[in-house]
Amino acid sequence: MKIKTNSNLTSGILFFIVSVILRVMLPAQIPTLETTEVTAATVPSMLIHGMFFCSILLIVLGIRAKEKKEYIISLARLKEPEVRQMLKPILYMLMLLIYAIILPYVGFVIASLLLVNGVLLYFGARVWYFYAIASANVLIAFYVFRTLLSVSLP
Amino acid sequence: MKRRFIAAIMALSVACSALAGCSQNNKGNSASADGTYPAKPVTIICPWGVGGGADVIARKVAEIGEQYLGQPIVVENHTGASGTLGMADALDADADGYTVFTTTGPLFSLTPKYVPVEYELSDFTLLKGMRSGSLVMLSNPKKSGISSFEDLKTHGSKIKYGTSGGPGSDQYVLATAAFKMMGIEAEAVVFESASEAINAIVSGQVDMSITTPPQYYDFEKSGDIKTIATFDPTALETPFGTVPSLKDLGVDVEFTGMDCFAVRADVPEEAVSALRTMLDKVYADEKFTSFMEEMGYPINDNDTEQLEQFVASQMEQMDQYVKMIAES
Amino acid sequence: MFANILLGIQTLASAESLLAILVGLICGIIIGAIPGLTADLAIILCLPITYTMDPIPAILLCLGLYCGGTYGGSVTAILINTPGTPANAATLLDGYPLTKQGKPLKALTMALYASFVGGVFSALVLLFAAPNIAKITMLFGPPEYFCIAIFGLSIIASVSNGNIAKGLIGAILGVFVSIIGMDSISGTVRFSFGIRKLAGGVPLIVTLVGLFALAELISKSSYNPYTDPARKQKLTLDREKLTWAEIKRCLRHMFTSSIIGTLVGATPGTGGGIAAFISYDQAKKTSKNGDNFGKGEIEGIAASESANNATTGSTMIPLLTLGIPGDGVTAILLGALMLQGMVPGPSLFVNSPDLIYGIMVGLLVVNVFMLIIGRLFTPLYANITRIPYELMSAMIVVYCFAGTYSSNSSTFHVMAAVIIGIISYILRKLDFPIVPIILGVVLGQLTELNFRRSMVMSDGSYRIFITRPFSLIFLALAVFSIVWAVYRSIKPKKTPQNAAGGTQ
Repeated sequence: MKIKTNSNLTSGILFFIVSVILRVMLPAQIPTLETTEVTAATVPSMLIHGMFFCSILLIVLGIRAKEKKEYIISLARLKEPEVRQMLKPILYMLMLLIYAIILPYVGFVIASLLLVNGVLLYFGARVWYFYAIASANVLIAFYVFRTLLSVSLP
Repeated sequence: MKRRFIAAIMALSVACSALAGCSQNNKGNSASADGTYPAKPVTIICPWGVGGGADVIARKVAEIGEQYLGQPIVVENHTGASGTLGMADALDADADGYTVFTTTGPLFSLTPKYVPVEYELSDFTLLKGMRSGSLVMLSNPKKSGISSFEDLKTHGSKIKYGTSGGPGSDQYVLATAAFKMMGIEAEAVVFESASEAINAIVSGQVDMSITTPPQYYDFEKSGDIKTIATFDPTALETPFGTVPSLKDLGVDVEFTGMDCFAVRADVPEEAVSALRTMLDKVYADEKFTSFMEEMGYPINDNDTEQLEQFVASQMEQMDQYVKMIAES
Repeated sequence: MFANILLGIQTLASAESLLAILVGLICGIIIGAIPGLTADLAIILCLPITYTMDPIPAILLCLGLYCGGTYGGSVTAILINTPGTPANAATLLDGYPLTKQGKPLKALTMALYASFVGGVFSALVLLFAAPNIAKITMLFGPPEYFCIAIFGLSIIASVSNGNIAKGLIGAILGVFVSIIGMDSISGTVRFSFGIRKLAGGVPLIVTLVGLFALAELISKSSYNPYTDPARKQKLTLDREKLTWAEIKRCLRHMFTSSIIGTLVGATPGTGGGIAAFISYDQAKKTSKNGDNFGKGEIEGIAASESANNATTGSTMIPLLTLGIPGDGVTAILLGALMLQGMVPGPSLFVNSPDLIYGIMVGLLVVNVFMLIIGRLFTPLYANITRIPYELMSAMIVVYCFAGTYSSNSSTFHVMAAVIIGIISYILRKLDFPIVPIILGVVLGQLTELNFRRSMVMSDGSYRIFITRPFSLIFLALAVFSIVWAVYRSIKPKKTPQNAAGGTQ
């Protein structure tokens, strides 16, 4: 399907949704017993309303603006190298997420070694000593933090 | 050129860590030969920030206690949520005696009423007191015209009092309860630290502040601050004279601050008595006593039974006060 | 007064003190440069070392860490678009573009000089005018702080690159992040979504690392070492140094920014980051090359770095004269002093002038040493850009995470940083300016808490902000700042690109 949009429009819609969600969640998230006029919820709700208005502004700006990029979304496009390029960051982000998740379980050294070598692989680095330096770096970081700063990484 | 540069960086970092390792030699992770307690370093979790009263005392105890215990003692700050995060971490820690933490009376008697917590008094053994503190009411006679307790009643407009914490903190609850009992219209201006509350009263931003001595003594010397009442059950002796207690002035509130060291209740007896011995020795050490004196902190060397009784009775009192405040 | 200064110099003249300064500086610069570790953290981590030292060297070590850290953060801000500490966030706006143009040496040298000027200015003010400034800042209460924060936020107008709506949303997001956690005034926990760790809020470092470091790494992840043209030729580093002409035109900014930084630093509760942004904004508006800001204008670096180092000396004014810590670093310094048995406050000032003046003179010496060390190492730093990016990416990531974990010993925060990083990457893709977000995070609490306190003080009346002289001044500055920014963006520009939709 084809979508004609530009960044203002997309971000406008996105934040419109976000501000509505936040508005709905507000009472649940801020259970307050205060009786004064200005409470813990005053400023947050002002902010949410601010976000709401700004998002509408963005939507309006987006519709009015002349330049719009066309996006064609379909499965066939996955093969195009351009789209491939866009997916690469997602892979990187996944690696970071996985790192953060396994960190408490396998410990700093193992998780970092995995991440570091993963990143290098991801970039397609072929030179072996890069891997060596990066891995050594992980170990150095671990020891420096441990001995010099008495911070024991997991 | 590139390779040499990278090699240089590596060499530098290795050298650094070696240097650091050397200077910290005696702080190494040495396990004792026969595996008895203590076989590895002990951690003290402090639920408050670095540089605060409890933290400073804990660090001093760690510094002096290391020699008596035979293992390094490290202080970690796990701050947040009025100290409850640190308490939760203490509860989560292994019950092997290698995690000690600092806590206060209010963390049991008051905070749980405002913040959902998963711990209770019976989860812990309170080892030894750290310091006791008096909660006092301060005013600025130069700026607000309040120079004695009586002036409060005749003040006229709504009294604004500065506190170093919001609902859930002792100053706030006690002061609000006291004003309620006296029938005086007042509202709290909540700051984030005692320093800010003191600053506020000195500069006249608020009519009064509620805090603990001795941080503001310099200002009392210069006349910018006057201590007009204390929440202790009896009158308080200060370098500036005797401060009447609220009880004596006819207001039925009382509070005494208390910090102490504690461990989980299910820690093996061996560890608990080793820790107790270490603490006793530290408190007898001249370095510690003179430090506490310089800082102006009265040492509270109550033992477990006294501490637990104290907390239990404080819990009852707080129940009363909180109920009173809620009835508005 | 001068006798005291001499006394101070005497206390300094020991090998231990000088060594402490040196070690503190070097460690500070290194730690400051690592995104995820800040000067505050550096001091906390090195506190144990100070126990066994005498008071003066111990404090000098901390000062070296502080000044070094604030300067060191500029190195990574310039070279890899990631500020090492929050105070350097404004430096990357012009520092990184310069690196991309192949002129990192210029940027780094300017950062060093500017940091030196700011630091010295601040140290001198501390030495000569501390008690007087303390008197003024003592008058500041919640209404003044609120207006200062609003003034800081008003910078969003000029930094949003014309799209105010996005800038505002960014700032709102930032403020939201700072709100998460327990509210200190009412005791209620906000937006924690039931996750216990969130109840403690999101520390600034976590947001900083996520917002800058991780997002930067992710956006650079589409880099392909095999197609990068720069790699094909041996990249000759542009050895272009700073020219005298450039230094001269930056002098004015360095001076004004130092003043701004000193004033901001002296007020408790505000820090290097705010000072840097206000000065940057200031410089942008008053410079002939204002339009070049953000594209590699050296004046921007001068402004931001002198301001943030100018807070180092003045932030100690409330601490040394009144015993009131103004921010994280001074709170730790307070603890360090107390551990040494010294309780800062008016009486210490009078009773132990050797100590106090030793500290103040020491700060001057620290800055001088910083200049020397900096000059030596700057060419070395510039070489960092020659390290192949994939390797850099791998190494930076490790240090970032180690740093993020250390501040609170928590793996949860590492995850939080990753999530924030991902979100900020998406925002970057949507053309959201990042500066408003960081402004929102840094200023959020200051603004909100002081707003509410002021409301209590005034019994709900908004007039309190106008009837007090200082708040009025700051409010006026804020309004003025917004108006000027709008004026500048509407002014007809020479490029024809602005035909379609003026505020795009």
